[in-house]
Amino acid sequence: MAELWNDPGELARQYAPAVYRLAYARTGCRADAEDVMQEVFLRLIKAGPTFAGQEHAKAWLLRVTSNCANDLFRLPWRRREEPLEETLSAPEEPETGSVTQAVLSLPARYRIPIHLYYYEDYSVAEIARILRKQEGTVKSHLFRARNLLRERLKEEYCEE
Amino acid sequence: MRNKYKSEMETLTPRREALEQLYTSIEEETGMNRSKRFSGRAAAILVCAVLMVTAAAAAVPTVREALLGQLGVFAPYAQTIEGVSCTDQGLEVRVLSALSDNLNARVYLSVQDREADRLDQCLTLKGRLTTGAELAQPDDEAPSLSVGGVGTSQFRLLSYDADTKTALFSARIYYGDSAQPIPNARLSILGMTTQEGQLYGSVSCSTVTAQTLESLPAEGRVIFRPSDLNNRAEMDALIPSRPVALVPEQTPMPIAGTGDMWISSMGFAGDGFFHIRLGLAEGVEPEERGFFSDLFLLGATDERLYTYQEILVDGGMDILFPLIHPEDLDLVKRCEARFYGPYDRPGMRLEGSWAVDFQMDYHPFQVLDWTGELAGWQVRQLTLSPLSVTMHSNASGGLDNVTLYAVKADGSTVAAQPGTGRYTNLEALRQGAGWDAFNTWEFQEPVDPAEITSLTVLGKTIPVNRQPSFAEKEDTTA
Repeated sequence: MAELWNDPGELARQYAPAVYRLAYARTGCRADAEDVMQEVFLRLIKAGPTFAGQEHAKAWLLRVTSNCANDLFRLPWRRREEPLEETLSAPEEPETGSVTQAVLSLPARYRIPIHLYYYEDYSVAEIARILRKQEGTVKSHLFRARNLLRERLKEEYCEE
Repeated sequence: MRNKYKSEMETLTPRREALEQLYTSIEEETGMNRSKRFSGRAAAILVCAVLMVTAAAAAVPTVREALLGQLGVFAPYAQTIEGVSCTDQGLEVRVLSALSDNLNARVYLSVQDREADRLDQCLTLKGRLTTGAELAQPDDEAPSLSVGGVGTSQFRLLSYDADTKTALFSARIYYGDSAQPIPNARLSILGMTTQEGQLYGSVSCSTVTAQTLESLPAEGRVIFRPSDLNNRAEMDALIPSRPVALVPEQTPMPIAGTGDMWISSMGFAGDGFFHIRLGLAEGVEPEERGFFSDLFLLGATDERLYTYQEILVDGGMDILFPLIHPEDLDLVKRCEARFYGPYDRPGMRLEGSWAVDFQMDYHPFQVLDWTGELAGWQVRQLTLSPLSVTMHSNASGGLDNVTLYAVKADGSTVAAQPGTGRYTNLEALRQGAGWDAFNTWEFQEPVDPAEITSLTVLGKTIPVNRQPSFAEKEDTTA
């Protein structure tokens, strides 16, 4: 009977923080993350998809979040703010914590898979489905990202 | 590292103003404010006189049957609402039924055209259903997680009967733990339209053959490019500079549930790529960048299936999949072609004022006389109603994807599926230490709490102190 996953208001109530955090993991900027959050739910209303269930809805929102967050850096006015070398992009708020700092210091293409893996607890296959990438690509990104994290965190947390 | 990252991330929450702005935007986009196209007359809401009519003149029989079909096993537990209706411009809005407890209020209503034939299966309502009271937040600085107060502007069309020109809708209010039910309810509709189509359709591709279908130059407006979906501009270069479209009506096939669109032709075109040509009824136009088409194969993440261009052509829309060639036929035949999103269609758009007040009955809930440990979490409170179970605990996760069972005295069980809830990191909100969780489960069929001896979840058995049944209460009173 319940189809809360097809009610944009309910989805916002439930998943806005998850959308915001994924956007922050990609952009490293709270203001951008909030903009992305707004955009994601506007796209939800515009597209009006019918979801098969809660997980389907969440996966859709996270994929659109990934797209919207990436879009930020494709806008002409925004492109200038993206460092030429992605690995140099830095968060606005480095005080949020060492692991978050380390994640935000990763190349942009690694941050979203890492966030989905460590924060949302998705498997490689699930991340591949959400981001519509090959599993091999996701595995490769996670592998490289974890190696970089290992270096940056000086092996403090790297065994998980 | 996972735990450290999670705990750091939990401290990051959107600002309260940002959340409020989001919720307001959603309300405006999905609700009455979305219908700014209905012009300023909406400001003058005139509450129609509620027509008290006899039960015999209530809902038309076919709608009543459709309602009973929707309610299913919950029908005996639904409140029948009679005599609550309102008519404006020959269109009658009638509240029929409600199914409510401390967690949800679900209201069913009908719309009937009593003067003409202006409605159809794409009828959309613009308005709001409200009931309930906001609970005070313990900390005003905490992010407000209630959406639009205790109301909803989402009206879901359940069925439309062309013979009686009557549509059946449902609307649902979620109370959660931030609001409480109250008897007074108001339904206010400000507009109706049949011009906003919404499709979620699919057809099997099993009939596709390797035969090259006839094609012709595609001249029209591109409304969706590959980069619109995957944000990779280089994918647009896959589209031929002079694309072709399939000639219409070569492999016609209906799309279930709609007459606005159909498969006109589907197969490989002269350019060597896979195409689908949708036929569009006159005046139908899919929304630019918002109407999606793809090939779906369960478990597949093959980008060939969702890299496509949509181009509006004369009388239809041609969808070109530039990564699918005849040698991919076996893959295609296993797929479903899906089409989903909003579209414009001919129809009526009408503003008006339909407003009625009515009284809601709620199934009582029972607070269980049990607190204890569940999967390592401390449960503070459990409630049980004929429709749902709610739980307050200090869990930080793991309860939102497990089924709960109510066990009856005869040993049989009724499953309850997890519903909407929340996990709140109190530390991040500077409201204390640890977590505060609110989890909910909704029964697949209603239960009589008097018959329930225990609840089981995650292997834990939680006793239910048996309450006297209604019949026993009456006996005692007598």
